[in-house]
Amino acid sequence: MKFSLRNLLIVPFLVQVIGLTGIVGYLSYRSGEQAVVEMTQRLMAQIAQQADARLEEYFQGPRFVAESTAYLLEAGHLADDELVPMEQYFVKHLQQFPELTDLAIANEAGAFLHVTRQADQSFAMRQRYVRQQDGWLHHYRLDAEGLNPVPSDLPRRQYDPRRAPPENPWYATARANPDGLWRLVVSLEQGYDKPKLVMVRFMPFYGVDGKFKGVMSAGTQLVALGALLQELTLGDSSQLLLIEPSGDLVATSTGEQPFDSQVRADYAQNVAVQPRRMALTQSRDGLTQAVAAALQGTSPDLHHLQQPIFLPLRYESRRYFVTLTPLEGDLDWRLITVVPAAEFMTAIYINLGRTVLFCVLTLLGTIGLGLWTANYITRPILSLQRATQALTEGTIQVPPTQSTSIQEVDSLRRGFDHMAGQLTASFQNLKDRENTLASFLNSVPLALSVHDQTGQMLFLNAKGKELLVNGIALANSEQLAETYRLYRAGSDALYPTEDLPVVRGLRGEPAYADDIEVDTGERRIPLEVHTIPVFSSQEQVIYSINTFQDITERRQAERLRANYERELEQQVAEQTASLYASEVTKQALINAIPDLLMRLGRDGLPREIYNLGAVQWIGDAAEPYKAPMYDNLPEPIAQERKRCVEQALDTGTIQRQEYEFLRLGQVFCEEARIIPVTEDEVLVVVRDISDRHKIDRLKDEFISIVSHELRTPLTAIRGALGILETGVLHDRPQKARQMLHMALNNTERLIRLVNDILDLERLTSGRIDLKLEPCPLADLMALAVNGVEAIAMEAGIELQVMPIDAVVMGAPDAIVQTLINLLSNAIKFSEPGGKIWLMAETMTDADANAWNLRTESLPASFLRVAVQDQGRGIPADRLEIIFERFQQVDVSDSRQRGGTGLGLAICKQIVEQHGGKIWAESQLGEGSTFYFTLPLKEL
Amino acid sequence: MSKRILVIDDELDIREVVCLSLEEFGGWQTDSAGSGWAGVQKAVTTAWDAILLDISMPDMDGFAVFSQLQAQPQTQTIPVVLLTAKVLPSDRDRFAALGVAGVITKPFNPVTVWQQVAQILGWAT
Repeated sequence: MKFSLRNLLIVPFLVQVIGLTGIVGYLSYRSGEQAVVEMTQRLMAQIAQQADARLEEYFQGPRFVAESTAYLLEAGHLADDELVPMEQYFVKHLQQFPELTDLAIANEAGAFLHVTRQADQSFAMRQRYVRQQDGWLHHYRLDAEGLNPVPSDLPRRQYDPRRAPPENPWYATARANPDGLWRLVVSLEQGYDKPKLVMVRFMPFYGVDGKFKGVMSAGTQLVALGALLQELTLGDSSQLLLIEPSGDLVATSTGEQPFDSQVRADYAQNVAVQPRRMALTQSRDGLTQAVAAALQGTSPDLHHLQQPIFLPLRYESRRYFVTLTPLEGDLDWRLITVVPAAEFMTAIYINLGRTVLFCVLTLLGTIGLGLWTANYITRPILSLQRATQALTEGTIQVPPTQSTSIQEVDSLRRGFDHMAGQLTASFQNLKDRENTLASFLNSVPLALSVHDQTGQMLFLNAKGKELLVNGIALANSEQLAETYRLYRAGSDALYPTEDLPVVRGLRGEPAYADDIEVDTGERRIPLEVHTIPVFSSQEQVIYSINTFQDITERRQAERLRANYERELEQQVAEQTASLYASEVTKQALINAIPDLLMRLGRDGLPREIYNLGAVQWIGDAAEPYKAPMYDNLPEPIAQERKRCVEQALDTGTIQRQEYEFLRLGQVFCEEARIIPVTEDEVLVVVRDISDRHKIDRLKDEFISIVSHELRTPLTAIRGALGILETGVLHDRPQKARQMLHMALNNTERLIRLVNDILDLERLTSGRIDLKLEPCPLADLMALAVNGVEAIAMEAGIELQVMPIDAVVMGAPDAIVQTLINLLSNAIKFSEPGGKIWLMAETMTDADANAWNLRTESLPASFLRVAVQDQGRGIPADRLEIIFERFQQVDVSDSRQRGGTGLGLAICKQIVEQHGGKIWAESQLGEGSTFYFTLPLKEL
Repeated sequence: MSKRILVIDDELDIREVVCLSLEEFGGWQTDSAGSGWAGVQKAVTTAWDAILLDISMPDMDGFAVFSQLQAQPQTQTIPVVLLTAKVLPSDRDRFAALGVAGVITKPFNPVTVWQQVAQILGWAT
């Protein structure tokens, strides 16, 4: 998995920051909340305590007034039998103790006084004075000073305070509790139809004798208690509720009346306390009901509650804290404190909001810082990366790297810049070299391609593009033949991939092929391909380098040469054929060319030499590449060669040079062709044309001799006849006859010559086919001797003939002519009195071998004819040449001996046409023997 | 004054025809030699006005004779006219290089050959 540096720097950083901020925020929130909860609990406990204290204080009033009044009565400071003075006493105390709302007294006599402070700070009074006649209970309204009583209701008859309320008279209860007691009573002070529940402290009082005398009471209306609670509440949404362990409401801070104030027709029922009580659950206040429900849900033991109980509460989507606290003192009440969490939590929420805001700001700040830092760090690195990428992509313009104040990165950057500079220079250098190499390769006259391991062509030089018209195409080894349309020569089959030189090269073997044809779309071009593998340092083939060339012309040359070769001797044909079959075809080809081939630079140094032995090499043949080629030629030829090379290079045309030189006493003639190949390289082809020259010279010589031989008798004839014609010899008949004789002689000589030339020409050209027939050799010998007997006799030569009885296969006239020629020559070169032998003998195979006569054309059985003389003999070096035309031992012989110089040449032709051989042996001064063989008739 | 001409040729018939022509039609005195060697010998013994020299001769050919003549003070001023059956271009080139006075090819007209010689040598006819 790959990450960008920027992400790697930013993402973990962000995760870390977000995590930290979140955790800190959450912990802060939690601890805040915890603190708030604890604080709330403390606060609520405090509120409960405060309320408890206030209630304690509140109820201190009634208790104190009740007890002090009871004391005053017992002590006799107040008269208990006369209640009138008590009226002002009560008013004063009610004014003095605002928490007090009711003061009442009843005695054993049934007197009853009850003063109530009204809501408007005026007072109401009920009295039943027993001394008064009626004994009724009267109702009055007093002013704020407690004076000026005004009857406010009808007097009530038959009221006995000691039996009120009837079902549970408080009087009796108070009498039973000498220490006093708290008790709720229903007060009708406001009117019969306005019953009120009042919490009253009853205190019995006694006379000095300890006799029970009456009950003093001081009370406070529950409604006023509610007002007290309201004072104690923390806010509008808070509630303070007082309940009894039974669950009945005592007071609420909500202003709700904590009891049923419904008037009841029946008096007893109207004043009965219990039916008017209202349970907490019966509250009409929603929040109060919710609190009641929550309490019911936890169902605490309200009767034995020792410790405050905290309850969470959710009402109308708001959180509340609820505390249930037992009150101290003699009132067995429970205080319920309800505080909305918002009261405390607002600050927390504000804090939380600030925390969140702060966290978000921190987060944004750190993200920003992170981004900036990451960017600050990554920017130079990214610029490095871009530059690196540009470098690796070989972009010419490498984007500049950014400097940075981060030491390490900047030193990296400087290092990179340095390296990039060097690399760019190296790349440029490399590119220059590549260009040089490419232009060099493009100028190579050979086509050249480079392939990688897959066979894909990487490079193709200019020459190669002429042959592979598709250029560098996308093709692997398998596709090469098809892509470049390479065929097996002479067929329409694509060249097999595994045999392609490129593929073989990729297998690591140098390869060669000349049976590939490429289809350019216009024509098929035969190619010669050389491939060499290029190995890496691990010995792996990494490239295959392919050189190939159009060998159309060579093919044509080969065809021409093949045609030419058919005419060559069997031996050469066989040798060539075997060379063809061999793998070194190219070398063989070169070897087969009878020329020296040399690639030569402008500097004159040979670059490649083939067939060094084809010509005369004057220099050191062991190290032909060491010295300039010109050193290997005689000075004037070297100068001319140099000029030709320069001209060939300058004009691009082929130069020819033909020259002769003397070496080891022999004249050599060579022809050099200088073919420009590249701008500074030529191909020098040197051919030894000495033989051709020799043939030309021989031909010239022959023509010259023939011309001379013909013109000489013609000159004599022309001269003699010309002189005769003028008539200057009219008076000199002797001289004239001599001239005529001369003309005649020379005419005959001319005829002989012409005949001989024609005979020889017919024989050598094969225009006359000798008809071989069996003929007795003795007859032929006799015919020949007949022919020369006259001149032999004239020359004083004795002819000795030793015929044998043999029948030869031959053309009789030709054999006779041969014998006459040989005998005539013998006679011509014999001194008078000399002897000439004509002999014949049959030969065996052993003889043939001994005489070195075994030739292919020699028949199985043959005989040998010999003509031996005692003449002057023939020098050894002329024994063979005398059988050639006009090659007499001595030029003057033709004049003196009357020969044409063609006789032996004719003999040779005749003998050879019989499948025989002619030769001569001689001892100078002792004589010569001419032999020739003839086939015997097969028996 | 009659000119004295030396004819060097190995062919007897040619020598006879040439000498007869020059004597009969040119009115010159002639002598002849049948070989190169004999020709050189004769050349130094007499003061010749010109030498007619054949080229194709055994032993010592016309070229050898000419260089011998050129080598000796007595003979080097004698004008030499080649009388030869050699007519090939290569022969002509070789003759031209020799420095001979002229070349007459065989066969020649026996009646006018003396005039050819006289023309070559700038003699009045």
